[in-house]
Amino acid sequence: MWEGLFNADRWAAAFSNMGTFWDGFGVTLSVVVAGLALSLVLGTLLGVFSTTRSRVLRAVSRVYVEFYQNTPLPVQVLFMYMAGPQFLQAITGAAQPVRIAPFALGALGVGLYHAAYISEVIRTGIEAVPRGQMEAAQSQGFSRVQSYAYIVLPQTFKVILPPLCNQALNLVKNTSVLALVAGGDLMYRSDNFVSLYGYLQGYIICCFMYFIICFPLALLVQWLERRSKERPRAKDIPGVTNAGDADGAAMAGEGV
Amino acid sequence: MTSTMTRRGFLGLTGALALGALAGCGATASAGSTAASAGSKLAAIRSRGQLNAGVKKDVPGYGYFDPASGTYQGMEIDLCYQVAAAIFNTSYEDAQKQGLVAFTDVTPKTRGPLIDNDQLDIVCATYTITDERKKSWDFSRPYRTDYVGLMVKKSAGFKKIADLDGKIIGVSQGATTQGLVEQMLVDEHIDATPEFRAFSGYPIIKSSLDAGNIDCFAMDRSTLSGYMNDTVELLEPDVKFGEQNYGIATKMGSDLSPVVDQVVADMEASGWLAQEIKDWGLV
Repeated sequence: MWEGLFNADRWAAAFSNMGTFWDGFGVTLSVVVAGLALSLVLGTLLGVFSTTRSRVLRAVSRVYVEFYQNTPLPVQVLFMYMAGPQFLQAITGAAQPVRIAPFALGALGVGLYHAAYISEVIRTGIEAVPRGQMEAAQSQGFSRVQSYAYIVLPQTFKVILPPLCNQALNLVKNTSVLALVAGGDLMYRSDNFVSLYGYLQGYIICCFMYFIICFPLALLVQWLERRSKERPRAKDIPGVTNAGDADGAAMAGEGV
Repeated sequence: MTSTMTRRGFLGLTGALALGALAGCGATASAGSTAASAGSKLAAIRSRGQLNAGVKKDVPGYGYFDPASGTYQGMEIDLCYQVAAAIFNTSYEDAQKQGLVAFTDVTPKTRGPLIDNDQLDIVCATYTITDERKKSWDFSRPYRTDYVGLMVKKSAGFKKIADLDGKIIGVSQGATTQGLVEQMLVDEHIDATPEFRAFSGYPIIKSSLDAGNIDCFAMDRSTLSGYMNDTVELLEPDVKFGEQNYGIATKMGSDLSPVVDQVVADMEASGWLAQEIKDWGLV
């Protein structure tokens, strides 16, 4: 096995196929971007739903989250893949089954799946800011919108950014589910390479390429986590705050 | 200190025992196989009273296990009875009546090893003869030539192979089907450039075809026959490409090999093979 992995000819064969790997990389990247956009929009919507007073909206959000969190992604994607074309044919009344492009299937698959998780992240983020913050802001003369914009949301973002990036990281890796349905993504291309040549080099290159996308995200998560632990510092606004005072307050804060 | 020593000693002892047991097993196994291969395969089968044959259980027309009757059926099954008849010097009908063949179902992964370890005497299971395989096993002359088929949905309304231009063809991962189809398009001067998608197994290609995600399922016709139903058809079956010759495999250098080859030769000469192909409706 080790001879095979270090075999120069096999590496040469793998590198001469880099074109297909990069094609797969491109497909994966586009699925990631579209899937992330979908999951962020839908997830935020559902997350806000779950914190509203409306019983119906809360129920919708709950049912969605529980369904997607408690069923495997491959099953969801295979189901959409198998049932989708004929379902669309029935709806649109087309003569032939309406095919779903692998890109759309992948973006929809991971987008819907991670929307459930992102919804939970958003919900916990909103709940993490004590109700008193809003009340305090309003008592200081902020309007409701202003209190959200200046007081509540900045604190929410700080809490949710690290787990949000974690979701993005998982979303990247979960796009590999497309390989199941010959979706042309990175995993599919490398799996094809390996089954055609029998050289495991294909998987190594595949790992490396996923790493290229994921590692910067992982670093971002670490940086955000570090930042979220820092104590908030008052902004220095000339004429309003005293620079010396602000420094002193920050130092005192660190001392605690 | 003493406790570690004891533990280490115990581990060593167990390891030695396990190794010894393994070595013993290996020794007996290899001794057994050399004894069998050294002796006459024919004599071994005759004294056993049954021919052990490896066949397909999921390729209708070739080798198919019918769960309703509990029997194997197909052209390759019949051919196994012919081989048994030749070995036991009896008639084909007698061989069938007396059940002189014990069938075992094989997969591409198991058929080679099962001959090697003498669990099977012959393998007659849509086994393509290749130069590579000839180095490991003896093959009879081909009893059947198979081609690649293009399975499409009847409802899609394809009439010619040229209609597949821009359509999606599903193939099996690691198979040479894609190259064979592309070569055929060049050879037949068909101006069509289909897109290929490789899947990890046959069932998902068929369900992709049924679901409407691909337009065509390209594979050996023998394999396709297992997925044939009223909703699908072969596109231009007269265009034959991707030729594969099926032969009966036997152990390398065994005295059974010439007998098997002779049976296939006789059956071909007498027209029995042609009749079987017709009877089983092989395309």
